[in-house]
Amino acid sequence: MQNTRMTCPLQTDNADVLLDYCARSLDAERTAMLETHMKSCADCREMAAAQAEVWSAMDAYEAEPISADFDRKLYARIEEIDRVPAWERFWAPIREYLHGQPGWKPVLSIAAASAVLLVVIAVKNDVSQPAVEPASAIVDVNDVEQAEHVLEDLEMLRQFSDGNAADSGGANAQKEVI
Amino acid sequence: MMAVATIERDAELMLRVRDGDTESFALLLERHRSPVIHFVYRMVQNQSVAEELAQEVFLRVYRSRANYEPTAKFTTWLFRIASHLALNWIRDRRHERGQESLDADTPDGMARQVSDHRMSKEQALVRESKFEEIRRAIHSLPEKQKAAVLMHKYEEMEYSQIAAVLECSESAVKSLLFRAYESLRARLAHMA
Repeated sequence: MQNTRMTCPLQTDNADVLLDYCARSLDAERTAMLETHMKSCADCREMAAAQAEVWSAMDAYEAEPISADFDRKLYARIEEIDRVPAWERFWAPIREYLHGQPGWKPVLSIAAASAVLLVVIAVKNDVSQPAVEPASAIVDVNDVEQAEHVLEDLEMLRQFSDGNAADSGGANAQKEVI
Repeated sequence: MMAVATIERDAELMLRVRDGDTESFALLLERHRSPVIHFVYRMVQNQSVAEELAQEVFLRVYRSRANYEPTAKFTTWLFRIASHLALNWIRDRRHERGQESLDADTPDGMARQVSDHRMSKEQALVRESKFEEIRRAIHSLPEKQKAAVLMHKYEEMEYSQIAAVLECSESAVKSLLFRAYESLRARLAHMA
């Protein structure tokens, strides 16, 4: 014989059953079981009644009519995309992202400068050292210091950027949401 | 709930878009334009911003067409883009306004004209006031709860799909919805 008794959804952490019931998305079998249960459970009865009221009230929150030129504007933007060369399409989202990250602008400049510096150091070392010297022997103390300074500058800027982010309160906390 | 045939149709259309068929993009737009705009509108509560963000959603779909693989439901992907954009917009706006409560905003809906002339002035006022109360109640929810409720109530999405859109577990979605509806019950129960 089939068990038609239901344990209280509110006591078993299954309140979604009541939500589904009010959304009319609960299957017939479980609907019958819940209705039987509700006859003897005031808490579920109350919650279902309140949820049904909210569910029905929310129907009044209608969306706005959509602008007649929505598609026209969209296709105009698509045409623009299609006109842009492929390399620009690749770079655009990165640029757009960086545009919204003010703290990154100086960091990027310094990162670019560091990259150039490191290349210069590498080339200089290559040229100035005899070919027979092992790679470990061509380290120039001044170059290392310069590189360390650059890294320190980068770290300082990173801390500055973090400081700015902290000042902006929960702005970044929303990132967690998505 | 979305039928399997519909899901397959969306994926099929998107695969055609990937192959350069612009007609299929128009069909996808036709099928999903309203749900996306309405969802974003209820998230950001501003129609012109909602349309702007919805355009960005479809632009991103178009831009990503070359790499499209039907590994998940098309609508899951679509609403993931839409919710990311809406949540980012809300976050940026809150940041710009120095954590000022958006609840104080003049709602876009308040400027709506009551176009149904069969409605008496009194009925129209009651309707507007009801609309406003629901708007405020929904707007007062934390963003992730709000997104979950909007997808559950207005898009009739299943828990698993909401979870996929919000990139969390199904039990987390149930918990989000439980807390959200609990708040809404407290604020709106008297309205029925």
